[in-house]
Amino acid sequence: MTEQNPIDSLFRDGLKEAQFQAPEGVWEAVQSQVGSASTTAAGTSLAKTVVGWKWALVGLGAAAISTFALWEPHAAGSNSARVESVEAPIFAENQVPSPLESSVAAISDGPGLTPGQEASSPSTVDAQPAMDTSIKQPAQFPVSPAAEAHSAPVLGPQKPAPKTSSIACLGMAKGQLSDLPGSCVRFEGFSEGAQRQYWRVDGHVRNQVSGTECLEFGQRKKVALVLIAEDFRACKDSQVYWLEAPVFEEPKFVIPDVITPNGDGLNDAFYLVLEPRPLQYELLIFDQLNRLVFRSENPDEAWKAQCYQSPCPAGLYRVVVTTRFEGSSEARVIRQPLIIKK
Amino acid sequence: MNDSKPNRELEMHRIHECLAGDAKAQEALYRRFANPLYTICLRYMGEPDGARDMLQEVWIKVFTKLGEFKAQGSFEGWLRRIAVTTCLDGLKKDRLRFSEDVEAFQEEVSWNQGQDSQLDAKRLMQLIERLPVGYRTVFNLYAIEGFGHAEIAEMLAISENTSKSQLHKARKWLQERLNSENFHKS
Repeated sequence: MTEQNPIDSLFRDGLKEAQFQAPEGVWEAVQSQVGSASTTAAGTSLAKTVVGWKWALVGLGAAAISTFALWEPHAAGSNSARVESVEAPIFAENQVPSPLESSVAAISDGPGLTPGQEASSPSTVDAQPAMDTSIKQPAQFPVSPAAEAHSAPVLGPQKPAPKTSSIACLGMAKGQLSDLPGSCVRFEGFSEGAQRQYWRVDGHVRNQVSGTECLEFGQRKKVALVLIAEDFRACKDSQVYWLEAPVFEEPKFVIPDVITPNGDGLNDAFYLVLEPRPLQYELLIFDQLNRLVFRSENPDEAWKAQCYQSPCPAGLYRVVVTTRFEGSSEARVIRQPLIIKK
Repeated sequence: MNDSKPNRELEMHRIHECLAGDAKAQEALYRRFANPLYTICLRYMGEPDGARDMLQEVWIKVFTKLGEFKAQGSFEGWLRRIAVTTCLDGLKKDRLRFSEDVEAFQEEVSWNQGQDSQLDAKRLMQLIERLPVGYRTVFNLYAIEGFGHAEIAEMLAISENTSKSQLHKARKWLQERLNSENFHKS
């Protein structure tokens, strides 16, 4: 049982009935991604038969491929300082390559990534993260949005995917990444002969040929952008572009703990030394009675030891600084005492 | 949500239509619950883009697992649980970290409800969005979802003390902002 607290109650009651408008386009993305997944638990018998057939083939293809291709990232080119490498096609989505086709693809086009390997290789998580380990098959398999859209535009029973050669369109997917300020990147697809192109950015589908994305690296050293191109036969090709995390210097952080506002020109005001300039900043100063005496969101603004329009008395104060620097997704909160001496 | 009998029957009817592959029923189900689920995602992710991605994953899970829904419970409650667990998984994937330092959290965090008891939902959401992610996650689970520290500790693979510490820090952080707003109003 949780204890009652006025702040908890304020938020619980205030947000109980609150509803924020869901963004446009999510339904379309869900519809294109789920495909036949909704039939796994209690769909029609027809749907179950189709899914079973499809999965049996996927298993066969994956097992065959795994004997040939050991996927390992390798540098194969560079578009910009941070674009580390361009990988060979992951796999021809929507198709179930025969063992022969798979081996040809793996040998002729360098390392390839198979669904089976994807699940077992930690290095591939960035490229095609599994949706969730708790989701039952077939949803665990990286369902191709376009593939499902092709074979089943709505959720539920669907036709099996057309069988086309997986090597028929190898090399079709071509794109480019360009650096933008910060951790942002512009992606563009130039796949000739593709009827449709889209990107997976850090595992999330972006149903567009080009666009910009600001990436959150967290603790990771690199993330993957995957371009997927599909031709009129529903044959698919993909390219993986790795982006290295930009290297940020440790921020310089100086917070004075004593000021002497006596008019001698030395340490008369309180200000912070912050390098580089933080993306988010807030300074709060509280007096001994825990009353807020100063608040600022401007890192250049100094506190001239004024409390309620008059000079603050000497004594102990409390400083709370919240900052977030480029390269960090999390704000850092520092609390420390401040002494005013006269 | 009103869980009256006619509504519930309509809901179950719609679920069966979805399971039969009726695209219109699936879309109707989505439209009915998209906003409340997006609100949950926004509370946990703290920003619209992340919330959007999570909403997408939530609905993929919902349609994948729809046949597992047991009619004994509330359908919206089932959806909410999926939304919360999906967001937690998303946060873990993004390397959610909790500082293990257990500060003294016995210090009472109080706040004078007074004039701010009428803060609107938008403002409350803005404050939650600005909470550091570790604080925000535990605060959401404890204060809004109503989980206990033992359950939170298990869900997030942290100690109960860390959960208590994060909650205390979250309340303190929110208290400071609420006091700050009072200060600027006065």
